[in-house]
Amino acid sequence: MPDARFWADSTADFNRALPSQPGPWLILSTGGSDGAFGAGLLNGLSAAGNRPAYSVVTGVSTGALMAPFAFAGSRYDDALKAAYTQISAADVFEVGSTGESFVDSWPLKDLIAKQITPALLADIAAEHRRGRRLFVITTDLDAQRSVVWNMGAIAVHAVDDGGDAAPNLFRSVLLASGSVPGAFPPVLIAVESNGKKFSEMHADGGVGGQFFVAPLGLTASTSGYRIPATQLYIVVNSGLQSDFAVVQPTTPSILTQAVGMAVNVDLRLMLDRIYVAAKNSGTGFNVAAIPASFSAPSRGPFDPQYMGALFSVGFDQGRSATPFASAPPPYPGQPPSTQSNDSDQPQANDPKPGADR
Amino acid sequence: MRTLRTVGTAMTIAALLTAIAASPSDAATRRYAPLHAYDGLWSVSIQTEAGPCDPSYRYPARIVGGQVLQADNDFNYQISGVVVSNGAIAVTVSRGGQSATGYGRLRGTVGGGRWSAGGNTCYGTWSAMRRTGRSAMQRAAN
Repeated sequence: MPDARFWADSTADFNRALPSQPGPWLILSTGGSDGAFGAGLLNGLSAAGNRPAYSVVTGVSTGALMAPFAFAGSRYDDALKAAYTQISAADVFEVGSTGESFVDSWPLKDLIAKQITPALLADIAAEHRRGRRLFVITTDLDAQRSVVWNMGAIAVHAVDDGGDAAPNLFRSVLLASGSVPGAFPPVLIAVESNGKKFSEMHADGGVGGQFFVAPLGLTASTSGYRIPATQLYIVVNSGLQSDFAVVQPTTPSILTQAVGMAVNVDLRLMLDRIYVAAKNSGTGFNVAAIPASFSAPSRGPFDPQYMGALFSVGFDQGRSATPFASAPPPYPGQPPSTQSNDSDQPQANDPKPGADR
Repeated sequence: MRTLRTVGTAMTIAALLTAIAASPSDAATRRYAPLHAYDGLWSVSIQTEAGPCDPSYRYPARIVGGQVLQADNDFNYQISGVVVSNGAIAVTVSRGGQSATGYGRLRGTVGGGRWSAGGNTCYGTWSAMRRTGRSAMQRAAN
């Protein structure tokens, strides 16, 4: 399937894969079970009649898992809701080290197989033929490069070619995009190049960035590229503030909190970068993230009550008059003008170390 | 709140099995399967109905000759128990200072029952399904 994918840093391949006409783009971020927020937001946007047919949808990790439903349209809202409110940890992983990871993700693989039906693939293929694009990002660990999978093109192969190869590839890509290295096993994807067969090792797309708009060379602050989108709608399946938590002295707890902080920093930096790129492109910037006021407790990974509460918050925000902000939320203590030179001075509302305790 | 401690595992298992296996209706109506009928790899899904325990978890377990054993070398949890020829089963899972005991029945390739922990601090249901073994990840290159 030569049209199935391209390197995420290939500007030429990216431009070739884009729709011929500018339109609104939907960008779905990482976030694990916090993807319930994005699922709720999209349902809320539908309920408000405020959800366009996005010409491009991109998804990373949990964003990848919701992207096929989001791309296929509002008629899949119930399926999207179920994917984030009717599952629990037992539907996602099995405890026990596999040798490649802390837990085994065969339940998630089975879940994806049930969710990605022939009807959904046919609908995605039809939208691809209309010129819309669905991109999912994974990380090729061997190459240490991100890969963009043209999921609509794969869906077209599933419809036209028959057989299991294309549907299985579609599902494997989704599983890989959500497979956090160390936590979940990487996914081996069989490829053939120059007559040689090889199995590539792919893992969570979030390794290369928490969401994907365009190759970094195009959105760099020194780039003159204009993003060919009328509007960017970025759904951040995460809060953008630090979450205080007493860390248990276990490897998973330590990794979760440490990686969580790194992800948060990455998210903020990426939002800043894309905000400037959108501004330079004359493209509208819109971002929605889990509000800081959300404080429902989680009793464990993929807690159905927590995810249900988060879905509701997302739904209400999506149905509201202002589901998106037009700029990234300010950092604590950020001066109102970015031209100011006072940023090194302590601000009265700067959080103090230990203040949360 | 996660201070549930291991209960007298062996005594609990013995008591549960006695209660389950001694059921007159079972004895009268069921043809007991060979003890090895349940041997193999299983996956157990645990759902919490009430209490401050994790809402759900899934564990692998291996049954060998009626003994329920841990299916891997993960030291973060322990699983042990017994299953008798009519499928009645009792299992204890310990993890991170928590311990829960479940009882129920296996039938063919599935099973289910109830579980509780630490004086009913938490309780819920479990279900099991037989699995084929996981093969080691191998990379094809030629």
